[in-house]
Amino acid sequence: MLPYLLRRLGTAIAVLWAAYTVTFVVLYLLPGDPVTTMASGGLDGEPLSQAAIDELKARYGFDQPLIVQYGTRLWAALHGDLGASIQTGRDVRSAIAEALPPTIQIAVGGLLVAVVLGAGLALAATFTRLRWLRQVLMALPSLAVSLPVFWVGLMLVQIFSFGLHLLPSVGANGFQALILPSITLGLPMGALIAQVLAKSLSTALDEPYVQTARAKGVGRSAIHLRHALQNAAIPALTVLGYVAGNLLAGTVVVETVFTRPGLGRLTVQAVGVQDIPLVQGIVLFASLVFVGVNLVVDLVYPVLDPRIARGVPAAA
Amino acid sequence: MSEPSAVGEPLLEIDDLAVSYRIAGGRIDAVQGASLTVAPGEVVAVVGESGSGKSTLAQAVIGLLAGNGSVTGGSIRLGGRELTGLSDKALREVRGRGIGLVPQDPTVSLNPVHRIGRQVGEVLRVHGLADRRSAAVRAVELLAKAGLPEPEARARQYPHELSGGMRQRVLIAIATAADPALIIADEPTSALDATVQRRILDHLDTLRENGTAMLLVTHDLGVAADRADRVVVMSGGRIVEQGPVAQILQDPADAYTRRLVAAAPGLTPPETPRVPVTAPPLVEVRGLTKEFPLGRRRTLRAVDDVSFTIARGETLALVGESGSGKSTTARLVLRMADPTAGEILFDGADITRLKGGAWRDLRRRAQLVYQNPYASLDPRFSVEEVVTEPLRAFGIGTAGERRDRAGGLLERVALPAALLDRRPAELSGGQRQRIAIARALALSPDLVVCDEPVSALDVSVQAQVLELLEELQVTQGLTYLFISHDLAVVRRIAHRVGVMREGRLVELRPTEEVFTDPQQDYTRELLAAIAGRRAAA
Amino acid sequence: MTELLILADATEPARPAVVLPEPPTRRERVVRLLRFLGRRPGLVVAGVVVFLVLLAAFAPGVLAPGDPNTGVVADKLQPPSPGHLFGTDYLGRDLYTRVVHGASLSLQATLIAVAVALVAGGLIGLLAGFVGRWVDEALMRVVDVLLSIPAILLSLALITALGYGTVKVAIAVGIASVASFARVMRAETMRIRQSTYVEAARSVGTRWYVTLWRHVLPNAAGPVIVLAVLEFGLAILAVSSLSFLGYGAPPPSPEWGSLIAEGRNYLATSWWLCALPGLTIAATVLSVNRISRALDGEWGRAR
Repeated sequence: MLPYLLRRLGTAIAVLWAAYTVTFVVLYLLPGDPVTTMASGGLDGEPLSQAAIDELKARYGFDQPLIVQYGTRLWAALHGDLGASIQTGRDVRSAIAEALPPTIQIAVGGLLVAVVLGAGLALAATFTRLRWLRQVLMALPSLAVSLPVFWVGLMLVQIFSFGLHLLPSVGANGFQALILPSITLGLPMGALIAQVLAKSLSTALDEPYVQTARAKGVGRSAIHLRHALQNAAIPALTVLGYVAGNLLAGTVVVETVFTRPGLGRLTVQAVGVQDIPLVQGIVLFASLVFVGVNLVVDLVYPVLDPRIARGVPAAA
Repeated sequence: MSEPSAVGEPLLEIDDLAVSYRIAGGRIDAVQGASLTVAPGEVVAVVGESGSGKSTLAQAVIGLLAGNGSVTGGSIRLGGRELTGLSDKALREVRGRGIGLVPQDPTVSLNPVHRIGRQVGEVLRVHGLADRRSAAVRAVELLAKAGLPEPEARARQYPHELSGGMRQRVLIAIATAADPALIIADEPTSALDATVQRRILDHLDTLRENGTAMLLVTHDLGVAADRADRVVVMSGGRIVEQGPVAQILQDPADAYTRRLVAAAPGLTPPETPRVPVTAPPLVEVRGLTKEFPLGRRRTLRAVDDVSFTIARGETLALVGESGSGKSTTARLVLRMADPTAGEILFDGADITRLKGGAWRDLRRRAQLVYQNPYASLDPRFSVEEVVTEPLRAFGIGTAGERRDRAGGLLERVALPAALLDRRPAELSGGQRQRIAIARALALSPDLVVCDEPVSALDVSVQAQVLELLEELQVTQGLTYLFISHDLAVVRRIAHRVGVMREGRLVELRPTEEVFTDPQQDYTRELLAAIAGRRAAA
Repeated sequence: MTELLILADATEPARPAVVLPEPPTRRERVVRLLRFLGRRPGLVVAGVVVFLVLLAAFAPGVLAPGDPNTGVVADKLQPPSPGHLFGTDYLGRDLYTRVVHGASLSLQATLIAVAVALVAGGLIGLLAGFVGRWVDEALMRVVDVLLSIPAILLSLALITALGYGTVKVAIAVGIASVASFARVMRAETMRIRQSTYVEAARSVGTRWYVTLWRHVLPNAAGPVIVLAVLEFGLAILAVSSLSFLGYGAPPPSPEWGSLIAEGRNYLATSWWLCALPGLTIAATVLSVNRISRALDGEWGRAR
């Protein structure tokens, strides 16, 4: 168990380092550093003098050779220093920390919606004996993943805020303002979970060991919940990790649609003004969340399937 | 083998049973008009080839047909009680309690995420025969009764920690836990090695001492003959013949049964045993060793100091159970893998370290026929492309000449040239294996290595492919290295037999001597495990 | 026919093995195709939708002859009517015309995105799967990293560096989905490379590059094409999301995502401005996914 844990932890750290490198390459190596962009007045600013440009470059370290920039920035990042926002001059870390709380609210809400919806739909679809009901239930997820998220959010606003006057359309005040964003965020993720869990459940239900259980005289619901679900849970858990790790990405669109403050909005603003340190900080934070979530998922696998901790590949 | 008493009620009565499967655009009648009975304590074997409907019949009895299958006519009575049309709830009480099932493949038939003890105890708990605590105790007893060493430890383990044979014993413990009057064993040993197979069948035999009846479903007439009181032969969804074992074996009335008996390798030794060939050796293998790394610092010695020669025109068979190193040896001889030590001489030349062009040239002289004709042909190729692939590889002939050549090759393996434009998916297993043989012959090689060439085929098809191989040896002057797990198959084709165990060649002698006068205990054990020996004796 | 074939197969010949079913004639194949489609009306509808969208992308004038960028201000914010199928926007422009003409930009971006992902991801996967060893290790680590950065954030980072515009958005979306293609291509390549028929090809002396060309690529193509079609749907969604956020083509050129963003300001009063372009996107993605599923099933059965 311990070697498995250490291996997973090592991988996680390596992935984070690599993610740093990838974002560095994308953001710093591609043409156009932010100072030049600002200087050219491309983004609603006055053109700057050459002296001012040089001064700015020196302040943010863009005058250094790339490899030196990479080294110093990585070293700083290791100490938790992600640099300062070019737009506002504020520390990236505290900018992220400040934007986080409202985002966490809808992230938790969205995850809840996704899990309840996804697991419920998958269990119902594989359990029902009515062919038409099964087909309808199985069709719902593929419908849901085909809808543009921002459009779903707007339609919900249209119906529940403007049409029925039930829920607020914008803002982040109170529980009511949380409902529509959470549904918007959770719907496509729930659909994904439902698709994967339904598929792995029906695969598990066709396995010979389920036939053995039937031959013992075990009832339908016991077979479903005691035998099939635990075996089917691994792929669903993988998707859950993926979904949870991608929650932050989902908030980019959702927070824009519902005009909520948060990390998503901060991202949109940062991209809008090419605030490279801030964008990098946010992307790194997102992959930190992704890696963290998947580390937890990796630790749950051996609990569900005894073969994994011992290095036997799972039949999933 | 005691004849069951004819008096008294039969335990299981199947009358005019019909089962069909719904498929896209129609239905398949998998079983039609099947009638049979099983008396208490009697063992009845249902024998047939793939697609004969034997497994469907067994599944119908225990009410576990696949989702698209249904009983469309007839009746199934267990102890006088009608089973067809029972509600799911009522059927659940019959399953496990009235009828136990020993499934086909033990490696996938136990829930991988539950402990063994819990899976055995579950039967008792669902039928209200034990509570949580007593179920755990009874499970250990049942495992001990099923012949598992250290049953307490086993009960706490997970399925992947047990060998295939042990898992099958666990499944037998599950099937017998609630003391059912009837056990259905669906190909209970076909996924196991021969010696393990025999021990499991022996254990199943002991169950009749408690008066348990058994419906044994098998493709192997030898197993049926050894273990059953009566045999039911199925073909194409119908029962073509049934009767006591002796009658079926000695005086089969139906033409299909006669063919099956004739083709069963274990039942009928060949009339003319093959005489060893005296000719200069084509292949010489000395001290061949192959090691595979197993994690850090550990190695698996798959082939361990093996030496033999194969004479020109001879068939040498290597026999062993899974993991004995026979297939690895074959690959080394063909140089599809690199040996760790030892040397291989082909027609006098050292080929142990051949590389590059010389290695490719060896392909013209030594060819391989694979075990599974479903996997060894590219599904997107036409038959012509498959057969001409070796010719293309060496740039032999024009496209037209190659096509003519392919037609000729098909003729040689007794297939019509019209098949050239077909795809493998359209052909049967036997036809595909002939195509694979034609491909191996395309470059007119000296040596053909056959790796279990018939084990994926039905018995009657097996016999035809073996005949073809023999015939080709005579007409083409071929030399065979024949790999098999099945001593019975080897007996009709090999001049000499080598027995392999755990990487070592333990015995290598002319075929008839191995069969009549085995020197090693292991060889004797293998021989004893051949199904059909008891009946033939 | 199908039934006969299966029956013939179920009773695997016990006679000499030369009996085989006749190959289907051209007419039988057409009949079978029609029957296949007849049982799947959804697939037929999906085909029609995709055809119309493609037509709109390459020849928008056929479906909507008007100019998408000029409107009659007097007719502004009209609900859908026979004269304006999708209604009009705040400048009185016909929304139907704008949606039809928007298909061109949106689809162009989607095609570029899929092409980038398919070519780059396919090559990486093929290389990793076929060469194996350290090449595989190294490439797959890179893929793991790409997968650990949420796709839309990776796209946003790329847009930060590249700037705005339809093509740049398309490239950003494409690069963000390179990883999933690389994974599938590698898995397929490995599966086929280790298959018995490839070993058989090697054992009859076929050279490795011939094996790659004649065995691995054709057999791996199926699942990768299925993924490409599926990715097409995902790319439509991703591109329209980014254009909704305002990173796509500058106004007034119509793009599906930016049409919805424009309509958003009139959500309370003019529902059609958001609803109808959104439905168009949904219908397109749904149709593409349906076709991908049909391809997947057919490939599965053909194997």
